[in-house]
Amino acid sequence: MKGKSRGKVILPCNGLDKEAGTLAREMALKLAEEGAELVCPVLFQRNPARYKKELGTGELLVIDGCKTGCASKLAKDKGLKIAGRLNVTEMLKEMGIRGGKKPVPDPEHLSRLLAALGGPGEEEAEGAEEVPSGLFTAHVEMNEFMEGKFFFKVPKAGYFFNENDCWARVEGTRARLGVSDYVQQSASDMVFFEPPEIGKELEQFDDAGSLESTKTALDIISPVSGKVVAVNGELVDAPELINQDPYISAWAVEVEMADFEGDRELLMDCEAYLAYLKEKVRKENQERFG
Amino acid sequence: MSDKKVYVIPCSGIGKASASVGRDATYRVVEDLLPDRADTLCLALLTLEDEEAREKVRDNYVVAIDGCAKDCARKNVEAAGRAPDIAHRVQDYLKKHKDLKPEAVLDVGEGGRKLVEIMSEELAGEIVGLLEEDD
Repeated sequence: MKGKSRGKVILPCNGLDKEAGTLAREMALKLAEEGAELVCPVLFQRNPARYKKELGTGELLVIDGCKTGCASKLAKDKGLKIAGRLNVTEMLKEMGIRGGKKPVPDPEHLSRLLAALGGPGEEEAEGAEEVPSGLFTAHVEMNEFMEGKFFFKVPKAGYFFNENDCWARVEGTRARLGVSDYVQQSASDMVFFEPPEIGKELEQFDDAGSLESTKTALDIISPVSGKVVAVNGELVDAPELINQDPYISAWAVEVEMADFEGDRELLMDCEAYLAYLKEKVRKENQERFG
Repeated sequence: MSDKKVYVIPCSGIGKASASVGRDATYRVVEDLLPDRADTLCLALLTLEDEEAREKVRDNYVVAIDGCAKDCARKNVEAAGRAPDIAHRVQDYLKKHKDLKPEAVLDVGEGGRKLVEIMSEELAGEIVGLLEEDD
C-alpha cells in the first residue's frame, strides 16, 4: 500500500530459532508495510502456485536469519530468480552486534537492520482508490423470517444479491461485497478469509476472495464488475465477523464499479432476494425433513 | 516424567495476527513456562526435509500450533513422519475469548497479549499432562 518497497517480493526464512531468525521475519513484515509482497516460506514450499502471481511480477529479495539459509535453499529448489539476498546473522556481525540466543528481537537491532536497507520508506501519496471510501455508514434495517428452526435476516434496502447468496451494498459508484446470513448459517464458523489483491479487475461473478469455515470452503462470487479498491483487513484477522454481522461490519471487498446498470439486470434487490431465500430455505427443509 | 522433550512448532505466521499469537505463545511456553522440558523447532527445517529436525519430531513429543485453517504446522509435522501429539489453531482460543482479538502481525496489542497468556498457560498444562502420561 505504501512507498518504496512496492514491486519487491520478500521471501523470508521462517524465523523461529534465535534472535536472527525473528529479526529476518520482522524485517520482512516491516518491508511489507511499505508495500512489498510477502511469501510465506512454509506455504510456498507446500503450494508454490499460491504465489505464482507475486513471484511473476516483482523482484525477489530473500532474507535468511541464520547460516542454514532455509529461504535461499527454498528459492534455489524452486528455481526462483533471486534479485537480492540478505543474511541477518552476517549483517549483525558486520555491525558488530551479537545476536541473542533467544527468539526475541531487539527493537534497536531491527532499526539498525532496516536502516542498513535504506531506512523506512517515505509514504507515497495514496490515491483515494486504495482506501475504503468512508461511505456505507447508514443504518441498515433488516427484514427477518423464520423457516423451521432457522431464523434469517435480509436487509430492507440498498443491497443487491446474486443467486450465490453474495451481496453488493451499493452507494454511488462504489459497492461493498459480502456473503449473506444464509451463507454464514449454512457454512457454520468462519475461520479464514483470503482477500483478492487490491487493484484486481473483477468481471461480474468473478471470485472476490475465498472463505473457509469449519464445514466448507467457498468463494465470494462478485455480484458486480469493477476494480477492487479496498479489502476489509479486520475480516482477514477475524473471519468470525461474518457469523456475527454478515451484512455490515463483515464486508469483504470494496469495489469501484464498472457497469452497475448492466450488472443490475442479473441481480435481485432486497425484496426479490427475501422471496427467493424464503423459497430456497423452504425447499431445503422439505427435502431434508420431508 | 518422560525423558522426551516436547517440541512446540508454530506456523510461520507471515501476514496473520492470529499466527503471531501462536508464535508468541510458543515462545512463552519454551522460554518461561517449561524451559527445561519444551523447546521449539523451526518449521522451515521440516519443510526442507532436514534430517536432524525430522528425527527430533519422530523421537519426541510434538505440539503443532497453527494460525489459520491452512494448518501448515500440523501438516508439515505429519509429513515429517508422525501426527502431532497436540494440535491447536489459535482460532479455537479466539472463539472462547472473542474480546481478545489480536490487532496486527507485528504487535498483537493488549487483547492479543492476553490471549497469548491464556493460550500459553493452557498449552503448558497440556504439555505437563502429556509428559505425565509417560510416567
